[in-house]
Amino acid sequence: MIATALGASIEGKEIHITSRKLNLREPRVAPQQLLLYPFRTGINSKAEIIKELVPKLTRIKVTSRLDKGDQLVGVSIAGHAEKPISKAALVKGSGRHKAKQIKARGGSFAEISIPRREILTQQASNISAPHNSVTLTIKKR
Amino acid sequence: MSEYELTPTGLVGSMDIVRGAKVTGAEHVTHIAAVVQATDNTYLIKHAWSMQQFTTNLSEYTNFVIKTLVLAIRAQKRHLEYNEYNNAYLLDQMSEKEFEKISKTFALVPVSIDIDLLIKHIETLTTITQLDFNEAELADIYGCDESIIRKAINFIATQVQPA
Repeated sequence: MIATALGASIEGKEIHITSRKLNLREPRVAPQQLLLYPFRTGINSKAEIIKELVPKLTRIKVTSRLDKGDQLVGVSIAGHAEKPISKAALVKGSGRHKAKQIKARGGSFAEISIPRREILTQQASNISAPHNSVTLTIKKR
Repeated sequence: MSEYELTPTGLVGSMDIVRGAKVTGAEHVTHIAAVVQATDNTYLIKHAWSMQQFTTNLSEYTNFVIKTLVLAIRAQKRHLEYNEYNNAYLLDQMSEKEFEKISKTFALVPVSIDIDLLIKHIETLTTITQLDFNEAELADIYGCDESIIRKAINFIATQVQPA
């Protein structure tokens, strides 16, 4: 299942994140004294659950997807991992560009912070469209 | 704005100024916005602020700006230092356990911050530097949760007091 909306999230034991822009930030102390390693991506980002959580329950966000193979696609994806982020591998990106892929291990979380441009445009047009501009077509039987 | 009535014999108010007389005793420096002749013998001084108020406000603002910039510089310095260790780990110059130990020293414990103060800090920082900061960067600078930053940014963008 591929999610593209703003705020869509996934949680897994291992998540692969692919992007052309990657920012690793200082760790944060979670309420359970866990050390979380945050990351933030930009430009054509994708995140995919490789290993599911055991037990398969959400920890961060109730609406997070948990199944293996669930994906997030957006401009920017932010999240964190419980283990240090691994070395980035160069993989095939979009078109002629290559992209970086990192593995978020431990209880990992990823969320779309900026959706794809076409989603944003669609949202903007939905907001700006006046209600009376909707046309209905009724077919004759 | 305070108003003082100036008569030929003196000023009716708290300021010790006598028209045409030499200044003696304490010196009063004030910002006078306008002097209006009300009657033949009466003048109205539109007084904006006293010099003391002005300097106090100025020093408070300057201290706030310095504090805002110091917080940002400290966060940048910490980020650069952390990146050095992170790069060393990514280039296999350091084991995972060793890196985890070092990263504990850089770990941020989210603190609670007054949202009004945060809004002032963010507005000052963006005005002075003329740079765009994302939620994550601001959360690192002020050591707070990203959700509070989101509320503050939302307030600045919409100018609506957050709930």
